[in-house]
Formats: sequence, C-alpha cells, structure tokens
Amino acid sequence: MCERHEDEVLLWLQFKEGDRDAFAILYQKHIIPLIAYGTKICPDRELLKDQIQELFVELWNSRENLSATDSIRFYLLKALRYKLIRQGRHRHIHTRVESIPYSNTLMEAPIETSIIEKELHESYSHLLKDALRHLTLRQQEIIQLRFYQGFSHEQIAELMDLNYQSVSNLLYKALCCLKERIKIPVFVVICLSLLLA
Amino acid sequence: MQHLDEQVWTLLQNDLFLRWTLSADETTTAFWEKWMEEHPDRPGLVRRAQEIIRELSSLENPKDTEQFSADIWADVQARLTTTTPDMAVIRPRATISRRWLYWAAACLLGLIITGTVLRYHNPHNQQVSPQVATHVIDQDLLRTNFSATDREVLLVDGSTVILQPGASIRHAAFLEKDKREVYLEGNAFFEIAKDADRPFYVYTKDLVVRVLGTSFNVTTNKDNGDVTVLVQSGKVAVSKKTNPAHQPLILVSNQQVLYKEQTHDLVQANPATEKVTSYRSSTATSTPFNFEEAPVADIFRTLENAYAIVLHYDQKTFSACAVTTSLTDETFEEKLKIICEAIGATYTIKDNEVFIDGKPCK
Repeated sequence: MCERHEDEVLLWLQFKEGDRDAFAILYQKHIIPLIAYGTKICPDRELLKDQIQELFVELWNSRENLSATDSIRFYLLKALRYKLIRQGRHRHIHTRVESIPYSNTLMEAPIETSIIEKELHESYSHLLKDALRHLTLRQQEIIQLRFYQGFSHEQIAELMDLNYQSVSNLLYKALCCLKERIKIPVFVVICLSLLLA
Repeated sequence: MQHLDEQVWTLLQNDLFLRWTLSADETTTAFWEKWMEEHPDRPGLVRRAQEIIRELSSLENPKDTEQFSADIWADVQARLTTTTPDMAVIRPRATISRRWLYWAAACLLGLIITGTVLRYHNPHNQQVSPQVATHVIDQDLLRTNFSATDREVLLVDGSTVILQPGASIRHAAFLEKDKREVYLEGNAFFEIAKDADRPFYVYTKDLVVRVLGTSFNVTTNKDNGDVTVLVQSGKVAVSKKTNPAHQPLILVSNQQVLYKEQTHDLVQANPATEKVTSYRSSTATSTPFNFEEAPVADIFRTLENAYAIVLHYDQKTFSACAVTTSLTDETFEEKLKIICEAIGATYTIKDNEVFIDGKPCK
C-alpha cells in the first residue's frame, strides 16, 4: 500500500507538471470507478458523460493550481458529485428521504431445493443485485462507496455530507435491509446467514 | 428489523480490514494473518466478512463501461487539442494537420516498439499504460489511443491503422473470414493490405467506406460532426450506412468526400488543394520488426502489443531462443510462422488467442 501510495503521489506530480501520459494513466486508473459512482447517482447517461468530460478537461486546464491530494480517486468522485448536484436536475442527489417502500412478498417465493450449487450461486448474485435495487438510493450509494470504492467512514461522511455517526448508521441500516430482503433459507445458508446474529 | 452479527459488523467498519480485502499487500496480510491466529473463531469470522465485501463490490460493474470510457476520453482529447495553445497546430485545417501527421508518423517508428497493451481484468487489478488500450467487448477488440500522440496499430491481415489521440477502432481479433470490418470512432489513417477475396470495410457513425487495397484518411470534425474521407492511394467506395444500396461514391488518389452531419449529404469535395502528402512513405519501407539475436520472448511481446492478440507460451522453454529477423508487410500469421519456424515451434489459434508449443533451443 505504501509503495502504491508513493506511485500515486508521483503520478499526480507528473500530471501537474503537464505530462500528458500521466494524465492518460490517471484517466485509465480512475475512470471505471468514476463511471460506476456516477451511474449510481445520476441515471442520465448523456449528462454523466458531459460532466465527466468536463471534469477531466477542467482537471487538465487547472492542473498547475491543484494542491497535493491524499487520494486522487476521492478527489475525482467528490468533484463529480459536486458537478452533478450543481446540475440540479437530479433531485435525488440532494434528498435525504429514506422512504422507498419495499414489499417482501416477491422474495418469499419458495425455491426448488434441487438446484445445483453453481446455479445457486448465480441466482444468489442475481438475488443480491435485485435486493440492492430495492434499497434507497442513498443506501445504494453508501454500499458502493464503502465496499466497491473502499472509502473510509471519514471520506464517506465528507462526500455525502453526513457526520461520522450517520455514516455508520446508514451503512448498518443498508446492510440490514439487504439481509431482510434475502430471507430465503437456502440462501441464508450460503452467505447471508453470515450476517445473522 | 434484522440485526447484524456484532463481530462481522465491527470488521466491516474497519478501514484496514476493508483495504486488505479489496487490495491485499504484504503489510496488511501479515497483520490480519497474525490477528486470525490469536483466536480460533477469527478465521471463520474473517471469511464471512470478506465474502460480504466481495459480493457487494462485485455487483458494481456497469455495462458498456469500456466503450463509454473510450468515448469520454476521445471527447476530452478533442477539447484539449483545440483549446491548449501549444497544441494548436493540430487543429483540423487539412494542410497543417497533414504536415503534423507526417511528423508524427515519422516518430511512430521509435514509439511502436515500446507501445504496450492494456488489458482490463477488473477495476481493482488493472495494468495501466498511457498508450493504446485494448478491451475485449463481445469477443471484439476495442483499441483506443489514450496517448497524446498518433499511434500505429496493426491488424492481422497486414493492414496498418494510425489512430489519432482519442480515436478507437473496434474489430474481431482475427477479422471476419469473408470480409474485414473495422468500426472507427475519431480520426485515423488506414493503410489496407490487398486481399481481393476479403473486402475491407470501415464503418463510422454514418458512413461505410469499402476499400480495395489502399491508404486513406478518415477525419471527423468534432464541432459539426462532418466526416471527411481523403484517399492517398488506390480506390475506395463511400456510401451512407442508412442507404448502402445507393450508388456509392468512388474515390481515387487525392480525391476526398465530405459527409455533412446536418443535412446527411454526401458530396465529392474539391480535389485536395495540394497533393496529399505521403506521410507514410518514410515509414513504409522501414520496419518496426527488426530483431537481431533478440530473445524470442521480446519478439512475442512486440507481436502481442502491435496486434493486441494474446500469445500463450512457456517462457522457460523458449528462454534460450534468440532470433534475427526483419519483418515488414507480412500478415500476423506469416510473421508468426516465420518466428515459429526459426525456433522450431508450432502454433495453434483458438478462441482468438495463439498457443505456441515447442522444445527448448540449444
């Protein structure tokens, strides 16, 4: 991790000095997580495309004035979030309302017990994906920020404009809701039982 | 309301644990291995928490990300080249642009050897290069020039494509059997190997260029979307995608055609105001595949990079093999055959990848 961090600092310095190759590497290293995050908070592909493009053009043009950064990834995600919010067309980015009602009936359907293990796992991923979709957007966002982007609670707090305790609460609630949705015994055995108290 | 296992939850909240799970390194691994040894319950606990993190992080792979990412990069490049003062020479004024390309093409020779290929496996484990990136999409190769200068890429049939910054081509790794098809985004120069049995098609958003062994330039004006096809040598047929049956426009040397994005008009433009500079002529006779007593692994790597095709071979077996050869216009397979014969190896092609088999050299 230490070495990797040094690489990142070096890359950032080269970029700031106007190295186009460093800029290209920077783009390639971070674009996929950036798109993943952007997709989560902004369903409009065209707007997302424009804003990411804008972000990198501005990044290049203002490179000399940028300060050192601990985490380029975090810096980029934060800048993108700010841009998308400023567009103001995607209200849910602002909202803190956690009120998407979910019905459990869909998920209660009995599953044939004879399904082979591999299929089980595939449908498990599918089920998890489906369950994730039923979380509130902010719950989905925090799950991505934590487990895919790998951000610390402090970073998530800064990004989502929450305090530390709220981050912890929101994350806990999101995981519980996921577990709630995946109650089918056979799947509980495979993985989510791992969460059971 | 369901509840989480307290201990699992504690681990999920631990930043060091998360970092270890997502990208382990020696320091974190040592720390957590030691931690697990301290209590018999801990390995199971760690496994459960890691499984949750991996399941949740693996769900985040939006579709078509590679294409999306290449599109954005192309736009960023286009905006940087038109707004950065010191790059102003590449503004799409035909004559200047060509002169710049001439210079760029001359430089290519030096660059192509060092050009590396990028392959994405997953977002947490990617090799990064600033040059030409290759992604596999539905068995096609998407090759994008992520660098700030022109880059040459080779096709298995012996054709050459010079991609301008941000440009990308998409094609079947070994091209189709009956016809060779390439989808182009951005600007590129093509030098097509003659093969009467397999016509070569270049598709842009709106146009189809049918080629009969030739070299030509495709340029898209970023501001208005107009596309220019300029022929340097040989003959091409240009038609609209929407109306392929319509009589195509035939272009020969130094002729160009302009497609108006707004009106969807395809018009033969005035012959190029000055003779098309043959910016390939200087490199056409030279070769980027000059090897003198080179370890065969180096040659394989050069092939992989130039064609974006994976070669499987046992490094150890061929570690003593050195080859002196000079290759130019051969197709990919011809090159492969020459090298394999030199070291007494054989090759097979399966699922768009090459498998090389043989015995150690003495």
